[in-house]
Amino acid sequence: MAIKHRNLYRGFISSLIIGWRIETNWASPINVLFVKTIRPISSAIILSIMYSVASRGSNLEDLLWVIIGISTWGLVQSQVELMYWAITSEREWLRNIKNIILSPTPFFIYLSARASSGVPFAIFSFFTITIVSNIFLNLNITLDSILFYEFTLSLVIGLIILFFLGLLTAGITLNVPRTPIGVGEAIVGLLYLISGSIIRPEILPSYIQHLSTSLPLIHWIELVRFSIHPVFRENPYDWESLLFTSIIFSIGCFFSYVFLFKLSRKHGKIDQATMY
Amino acid sequence: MNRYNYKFALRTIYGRAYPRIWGVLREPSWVLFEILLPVLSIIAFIYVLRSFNADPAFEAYAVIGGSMMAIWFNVVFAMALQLRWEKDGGNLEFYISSPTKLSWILLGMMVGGSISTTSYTVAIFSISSVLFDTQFLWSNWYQALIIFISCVVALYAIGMCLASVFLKYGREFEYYLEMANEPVQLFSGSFFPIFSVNILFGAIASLIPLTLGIDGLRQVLVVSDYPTLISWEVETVIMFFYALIALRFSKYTLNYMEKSARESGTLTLKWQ
Repeated sequence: MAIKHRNLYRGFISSLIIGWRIETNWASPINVLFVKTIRPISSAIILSIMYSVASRGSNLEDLLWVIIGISTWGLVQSQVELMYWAITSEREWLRNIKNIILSPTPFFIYLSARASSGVPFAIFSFFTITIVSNIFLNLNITLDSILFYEFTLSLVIGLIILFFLGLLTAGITLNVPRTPIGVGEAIVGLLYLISGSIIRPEILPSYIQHLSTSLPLIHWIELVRFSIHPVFRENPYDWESLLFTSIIFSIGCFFSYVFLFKLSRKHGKIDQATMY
Repeated sequence: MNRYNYKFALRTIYGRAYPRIWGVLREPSWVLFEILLPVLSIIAFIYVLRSFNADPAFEAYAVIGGSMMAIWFNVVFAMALQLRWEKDGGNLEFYISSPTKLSWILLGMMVGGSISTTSYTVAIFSISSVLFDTQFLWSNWYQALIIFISCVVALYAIGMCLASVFLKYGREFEYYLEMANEPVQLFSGSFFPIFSVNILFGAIASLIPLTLGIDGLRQVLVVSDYPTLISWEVETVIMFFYALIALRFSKYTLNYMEKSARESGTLTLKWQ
């Protein structure tokens, strides 16, 4: 069937709406806001309490480095998680994945729309953790100190990178029907440790450092830090590394997804419900 | 209960516990994920503590708290949610139409689940301790064992109660429980001493048996002085008390929820 732009657009909108409804369990926006607020606020309070009871005078830069890394990583967790959860839910619980793949909307459009439904929550969570931490830990983040142009650009670039990372994870998930959630969580968990969100890359072994700097996530999180606080602006930002790694990574992820998608169809794993 | 029922109950418990204990051997990758993911979480929090220039004792707190969180996740996802998953998988009809009782089946899940989770927790604890060279007072191992067993029993007993709630409310309640992950981390004091924040906060948080279990284990295992309010002996008694109440209560909630779900026609209605 020829795919028209209208099909893509309508498919995206329909998938976005169904993604929103599934993710929010058809609840009212007030309930959704309540549910989605509790988790990031709890995370921010945990960090604040840990700092207040455990700190023996760490410097502001270290503290800011970790807090911004953690709040930014929430975007990764949310976006990538939605991709593999979409596959797991459609395959295991709703048993609808075959119909979605047979429909005229390409599957990756469906996945991207499902993941897009979580973007407002992810951004909301990012701001909540940052603002609550700023209040309780006195991080000195002021509106004057934020570079809004760079910050907006970092969000846009970040969401694009995460979309492709999500596609890669989705492709892998399609091929591991018995361990769909574990694989997704393990990928996100391992990236958490090597992407410079919580652990400084300098203390990692040299071969992991090379791997870490070849991924765009580390450069993206650095851009978020650079845009939020002047303490990270001693050196000019390395745009070339971000753009180069992002383009290579995105292309690699997309083609990996296409290959993995075909592989899962070939081996009959698309709708292999296992109840894990 | 007559002799026949007693034996029958034991057979049911053994039958349901069996896949929980030995089933993992048929899917070793699950063991890897059950251990790897909590270890990653502990690593992350320990690096946060290092960035705060925290006392090394806090790393020991984080290892204990992070290891114990694995039990909570297992109780939630492999105990409380289990009957709902069985409903979606089509097994619940078999359970109900079989001559055994749902409460015995849940008891089997509890026994099997607690044994397998204990092995995961020990693995998470050992790996994290070795990774960060964390020191513990191993001479108090028997006290730690008493606290650990009482905490596991109390949590799984609460899981039995929650299972019946899920049977009635289905997916709706699952969202609320998923939402509770971070708040439970906060109120259980997984990564900080709960009574060092505020006595009132600690007292309220102690309503969760996981909080008492983590607090008790830190009292007996951590080398340095640990700030607390309730002694581990009292905490152990409270946790056993919790377990007794929850086990008794779960029998009634299960019967009530089953009856109610039968009447409303949602007992075997899938994907709700």
